[in-house]
Amino acid sequence: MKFSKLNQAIGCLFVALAAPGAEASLVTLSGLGFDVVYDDQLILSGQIAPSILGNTIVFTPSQLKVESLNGSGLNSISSAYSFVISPHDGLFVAGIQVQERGDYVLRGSQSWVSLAGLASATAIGSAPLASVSASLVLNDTQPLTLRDGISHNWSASAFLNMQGLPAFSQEADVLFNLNTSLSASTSASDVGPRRAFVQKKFSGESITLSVATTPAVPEPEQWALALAGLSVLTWGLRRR
Amino acid sequence: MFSVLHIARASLVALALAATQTHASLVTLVGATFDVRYDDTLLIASLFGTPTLTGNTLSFTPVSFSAQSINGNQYATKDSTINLQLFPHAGQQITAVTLTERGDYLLRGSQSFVEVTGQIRLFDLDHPLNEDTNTITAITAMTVTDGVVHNWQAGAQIQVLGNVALPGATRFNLTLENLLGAYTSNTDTSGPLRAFIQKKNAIDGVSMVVSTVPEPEGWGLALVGLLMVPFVARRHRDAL
Repeated sequence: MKFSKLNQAIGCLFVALAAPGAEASLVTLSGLGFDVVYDDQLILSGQIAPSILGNTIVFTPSQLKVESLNGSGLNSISSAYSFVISPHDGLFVAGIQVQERGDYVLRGSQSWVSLAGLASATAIGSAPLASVSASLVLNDTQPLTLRDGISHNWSASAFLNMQGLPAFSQEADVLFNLNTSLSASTSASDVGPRRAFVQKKFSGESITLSVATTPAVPEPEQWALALAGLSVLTWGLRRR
Repeated sequence: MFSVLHIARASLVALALAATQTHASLVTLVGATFDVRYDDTLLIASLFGTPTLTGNTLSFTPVSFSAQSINGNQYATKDSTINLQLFPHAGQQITAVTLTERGDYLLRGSQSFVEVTGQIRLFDLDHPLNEDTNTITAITAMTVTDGVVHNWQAGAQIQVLGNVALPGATRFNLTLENLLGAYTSNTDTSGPLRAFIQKKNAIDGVSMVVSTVPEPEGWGLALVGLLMVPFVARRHRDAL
């Protein structure tokens, strides 16, 4: 009975530990070969709910959109989010393929929409700081110029290649950051119905993992821990 | 042994608490052959509102999804985007998603117009980069400028079965985007100018039929069963 009380106390500690974690809003998602940690508050303020599907971290924002009407000029919106990719033992993050998708609507001969963005990955704890970045590029070579007042697709991508970079290949946690900016413009000197609307509806970051070059040898502390565990086990068995 | 159980139970409780905090607003609707999951907070904040699922039909009852332009003040728009996840029941396969939208409009002025566009977008929850989209298009022409309310209807459909863009997909994320536009021209001198369009707040305002069929294995199993009936019947008769 005494023991169970002690354990209830430990249980309470667990709850107590979990509670501040929730306040700080750090959320961990588990994927195949890697975990993702992000600040829930930061990301959800942009109404984005991420999830890991296969090897891809997926966001489906519903509020990342911008519109310009009736020659009011340029409007833009930008969003930024970051998360930490933590590869499991013996693996490292070798590449991140970013895919962004959405649609646009245009009316008026001088109306236009555009998007720009930058993805970057930094090896946490590396000195000097090792970082890779790439700009978002439209997948379709055709510019976003269908001015028929009907919704059309756009998609853009960026690829971060960390293969062969020593700072990443040592199983480093990787801080991923993505900035996307959407712009819509209608011109005051244009005549007739003028509308420009662009929205981002999907963002997927596919993680490529590689086997780390350094073999995962248990640290001395881990050996000690294992030994301690074994001795406790034998002691328990003997007691019984 | 008790102590270990206690710790396990306590930590489970802690985990469960943490989990409910992050996914407090996930709602699941159970249909005849499939389930729908969505984030309640996002849908309540959207112009669609929360859906009801009857049989295989998902219905929304938007209450303030309308756009109006009067007296030549040019474009007025309204847009909303939501995400739903579709999970077929065991032994069922989603074959198509069909969207139907109904509402009314009212026009005065020779250059006034109203329009509806947007799209449905399906991606594979297991391979999120595999997707297909379809543009929402008006089925009825919205051109009667008599200042009286008229009905309109629009729709979009994505075939899932045999879709090369969604190979082997079974579970889906559905993004539904709606854009309404109303326009009166600032150069129109034909008299009173008004353009109004809305999605009706009736049960059939926005509805989506998710078509399903039993999986091929299901059919095979049924066939085997049917073939066995005469055999069993004969055995039964012989025994008598």
